[in-house]
Amino acid sequence: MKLISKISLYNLILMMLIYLVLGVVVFSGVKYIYTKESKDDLYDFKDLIEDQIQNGIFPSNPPYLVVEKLEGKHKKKKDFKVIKMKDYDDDSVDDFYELIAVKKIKGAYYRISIRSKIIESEEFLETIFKSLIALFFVQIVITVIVNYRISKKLFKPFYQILEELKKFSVSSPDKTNFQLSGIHEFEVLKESLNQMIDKIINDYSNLKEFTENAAHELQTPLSIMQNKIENIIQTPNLDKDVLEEIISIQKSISRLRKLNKSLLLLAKVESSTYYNTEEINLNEIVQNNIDRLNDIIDLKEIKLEIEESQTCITTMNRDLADILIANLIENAIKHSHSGALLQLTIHSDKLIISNSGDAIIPNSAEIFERFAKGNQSDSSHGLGLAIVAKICNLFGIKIRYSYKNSMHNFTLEV
Amino acid sequence: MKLLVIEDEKELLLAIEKFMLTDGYKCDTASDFQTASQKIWDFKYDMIVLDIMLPDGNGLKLLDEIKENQGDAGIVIISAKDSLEDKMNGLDLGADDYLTKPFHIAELNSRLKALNRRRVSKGQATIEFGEIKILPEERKVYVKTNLLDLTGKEFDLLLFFYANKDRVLTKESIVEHLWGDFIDAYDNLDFIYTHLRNLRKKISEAGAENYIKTVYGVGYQFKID
Repeated sequence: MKLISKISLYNLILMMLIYLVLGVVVFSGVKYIYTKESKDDLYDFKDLIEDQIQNGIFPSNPPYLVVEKLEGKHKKKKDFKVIKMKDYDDDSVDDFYELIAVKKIKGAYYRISIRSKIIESEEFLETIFKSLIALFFVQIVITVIVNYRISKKLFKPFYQILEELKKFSVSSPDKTNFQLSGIHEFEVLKESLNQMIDKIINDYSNLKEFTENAAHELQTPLSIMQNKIENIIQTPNLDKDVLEEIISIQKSISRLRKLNKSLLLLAKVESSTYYNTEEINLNEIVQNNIDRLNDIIDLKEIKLEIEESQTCITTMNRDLADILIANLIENAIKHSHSGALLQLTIHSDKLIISNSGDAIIPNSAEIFERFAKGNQSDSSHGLGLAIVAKICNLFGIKIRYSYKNSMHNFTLEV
Repeated sequence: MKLLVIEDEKELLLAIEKFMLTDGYKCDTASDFQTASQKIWDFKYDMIVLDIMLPDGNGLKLLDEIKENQGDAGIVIISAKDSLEDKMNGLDLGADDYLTKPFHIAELNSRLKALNRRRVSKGQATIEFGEIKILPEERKVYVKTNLLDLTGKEFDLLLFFYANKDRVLTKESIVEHLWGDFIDAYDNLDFIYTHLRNLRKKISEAGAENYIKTVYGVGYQFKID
């Protein structure tokens, strides 16, 4: 729910309560004044009648006005009350105010009964209720319109901040451009966000730099170890057991070296050190890689099907394009069993690399994550597809993985 | 063949030097910009291996000095930086080849040999040993007078072996030479065995002896007795 809707809702609930209280107050007030006025009216009228009796006129209008001459002596009294009686023109019983006064005029006692019909409470209620409801709806309409207008204007800087935040990416941090809002809260928010973003960018670049430096610094010692080992194995008549141990070390070093190289590449792609882009014909890149790997494909007895109906051209860095395609094809070959099918389909805007295999990969959503391995005993370092994803991301290429009809498919959309 | 290796990492320098000495090079070394500059001015080299990241100066600057004093020396740049700009700059400034650390010294050796062939013989070089004759530029191999029908990989393999003859080569260095080093660890490297088997077969069927020896558990050795 939008903030402004929530505010409006609370406003309306509050208003409803206010209107309810208002209704009760208005109703009692009107009722009180009405009763008072009616009473005053009846007394005034009684005074008028008394004057008329004084002047020898005896008005009569039953049942509203009855004047009776009383025999004998009576006590003076005034009695005001509410009674129920039938009106003269219909059968319904209604509430009436009744004022009965006994008064001595010119030596005789008179009883004056004045009755006046009371407007029923329901009628008051109805009128008040209707007016309040009408008012209430007018208020809703006004509130909604005003809130909408105000929120559009007032929250404009807020939505701008949101837009800027959506655009923000830590790997390609353009300086966020928060505009001046003139509203204290938003200014504070902006300032905090700017501080936070600066810190994030700083931490991120430190981390990236660290990875790059660490990987970089590892290169030389690894180089030395590897070269020394290659020199050691030249020694004639080395003990076979020793040699085995050395080769085992050499394999580990080799693995480390590849891992390190991939980490370095990943760090480099992330920091977008590769700037030069050019028009790349992916068909050519695919063909070059197939030429390079052809014998491995033959050796594994993989059935290769290439379907290139169109030329796929995209703008990117040549070396990264090569690494991208090489990683995908090598990945497909690596996970193909002997006799499997490897399909390469090239459209003008799409490149699909598929290999047959029956195992569904668990956690296929994480397939592009670092160190995500289909198989833990796998000797690969698990960075190949992470590099693929990073390269795709860098050049705005969409990559998808799917498993359909016993085929693992990687689809690139350029 | 006189070689100058410029590399600031002493251990790596020693490893390269040891390798090159056993391979019959006359090998000179320099581990900083100053020494390297001095040697370039004072002596004459056939080949120079240059690390462009030196503690006291950019190795790319040394390239100019090399060009000035060692006009026809072959230059191979080695760098820990896999940066394309460096590669481009290096090659533009007159280096002949570029190798990214870490590398197998056998790979460096094979590049140096290839470079030397191109430099000295301008493409007319032939390599002859025993009954075998290799024409590197034409990518042809003869045993006696028989032309061998080798695939591209088999030819590369033979040349790589020859460049590193008498040395034990690990399967890994062979794989990296043939397929590039971004091949992500295949579970076993035995697929090079097929190429080797075919190569051996083709050579022996043509009437030459088997020079490729298997060093059990390690790799292979090309031995010319």
